[in-house]
Amino acid sequence: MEELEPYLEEWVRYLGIECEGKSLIPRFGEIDTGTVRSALLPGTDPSKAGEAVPEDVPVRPPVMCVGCPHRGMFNVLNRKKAFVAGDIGCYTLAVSPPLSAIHTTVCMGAGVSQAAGIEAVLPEEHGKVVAVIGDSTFLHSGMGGVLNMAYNEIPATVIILDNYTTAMTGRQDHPGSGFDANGNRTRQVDWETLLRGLGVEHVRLVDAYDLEEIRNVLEEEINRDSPSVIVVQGACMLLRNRPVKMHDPYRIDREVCTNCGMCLRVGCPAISRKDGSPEEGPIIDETQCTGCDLCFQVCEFEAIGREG
Amino acid sequence: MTPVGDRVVNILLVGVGGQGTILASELLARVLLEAGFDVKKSEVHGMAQRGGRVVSHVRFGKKVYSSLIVRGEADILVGFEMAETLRSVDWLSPGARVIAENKSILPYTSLIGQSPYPFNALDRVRDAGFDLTVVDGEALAEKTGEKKTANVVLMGTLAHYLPVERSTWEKTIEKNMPEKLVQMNLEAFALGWEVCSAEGEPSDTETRGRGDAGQKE
Repeated sequence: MEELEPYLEEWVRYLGIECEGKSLIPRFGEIDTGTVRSALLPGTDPSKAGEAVPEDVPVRPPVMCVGCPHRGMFNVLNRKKAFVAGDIGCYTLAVSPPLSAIHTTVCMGAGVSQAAGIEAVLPEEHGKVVAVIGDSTFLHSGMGGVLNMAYNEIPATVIILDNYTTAMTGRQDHPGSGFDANGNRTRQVDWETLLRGLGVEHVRLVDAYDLEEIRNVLEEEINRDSPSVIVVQGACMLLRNRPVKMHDPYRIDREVCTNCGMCLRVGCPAISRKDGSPEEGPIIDETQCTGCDLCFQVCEFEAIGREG
Repeated sequence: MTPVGDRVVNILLVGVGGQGTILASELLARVLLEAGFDVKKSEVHGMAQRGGRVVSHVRFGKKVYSSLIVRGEADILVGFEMAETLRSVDWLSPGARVIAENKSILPYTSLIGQSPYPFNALDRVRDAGFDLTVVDGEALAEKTGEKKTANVVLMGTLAHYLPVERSTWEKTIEKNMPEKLVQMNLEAFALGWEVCSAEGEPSDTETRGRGDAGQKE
């Protein structure tokens, strides 16, 4: 019962032992219970009673939480049409519309090396390429890539999305969180010291919820002719001890709203159109809204405000 | 109540993160154990916290070996969300029973108008030849004071189709839920039970299924 290629099967045969494998088990797809049973007990194929029905059911991709600190930077990267070498974590979800601002995901640490590689090989792309990597992924396997980038003086820009935890896998602490594996206070990595130690001269810390600051700092660093790192800081919404409601919720003034759709491009699950109909202007679900401010900042018509 | 004999009965529960799909399947498994069956349960909930799909397999009988249902062989589907119910019909055996909540939770791409949501999902399940009972779970649950008990409302409806005494359900709810939630959940269970007036006979399947299929919270 071997997945993919018949590696074991062939070696067993070379040993002169009779062996069945790929004649029964497919080379691709999930080897589920039905597949295994049909292979071992021919004639027990399961029914296909409902197979033709659900063709057009929309997929249900996971989305970043309401109030997530990653959303602002990806909104800016999307607007800038930057090439984003991604990595593995919650922020990989920015691959989906409307943020659509992750272009590669290979393995942990790969994004940093890819961005540096692109900058080194295609200098004409300078000013358009960044790497994004989470704080825990960076401390796990991003430092080598940054060391290489700085040592070779490649003018790439690495963005560390610092949410103070390892969010995707369940909020484990890491050297940047200030707590050890047992949850006790410990020394906390100092980003500026660490990155300067790796040889990066230009290190910028920015507030994850301040779009203007993010835009300005990104513009400066992405065009800089030497290696740079931007650390975007904002606590994960799932962090223990974090107040769930940050601020009062926002609402959209239907009289002022022009239905331009800018707030929808922030990619917040609390903002939607009624029944998904394009004619319906966007609404904010006040029970979900954390008041994170991003939709308010992107609205050009001042249609978004707080109660009263 | 359906007798089981030597057969293993397959129940698939599907929903969206936050609806209590997994809690419901845990209650179901405990009830079946309490009733003396061998029970196996398995679930997929990787993306539940970020709005993803949740699936739980519950299998029971005299002796159960595998915890996974074979696609195409589920006897009963309990669907807490209508698009997920429709998405799961390829898991069903011909003419299988479907107990579905009349509830839509639009995926993000539908919310922003990028992919149409199948508001007729439950009609399509019935049209495909499955034995559908629609439960207005959330509306019923609201009577208990907590919309989130909709998962237990559906267990009340499901209970009609399982060879387990109602008292076993009630005993298991009392034993396994936090004390302050017991009364609320017993009420929710009773409301779901009443959806079927006589044993195995849904009272108003048709009217509940159609008409308000597009309703949301």
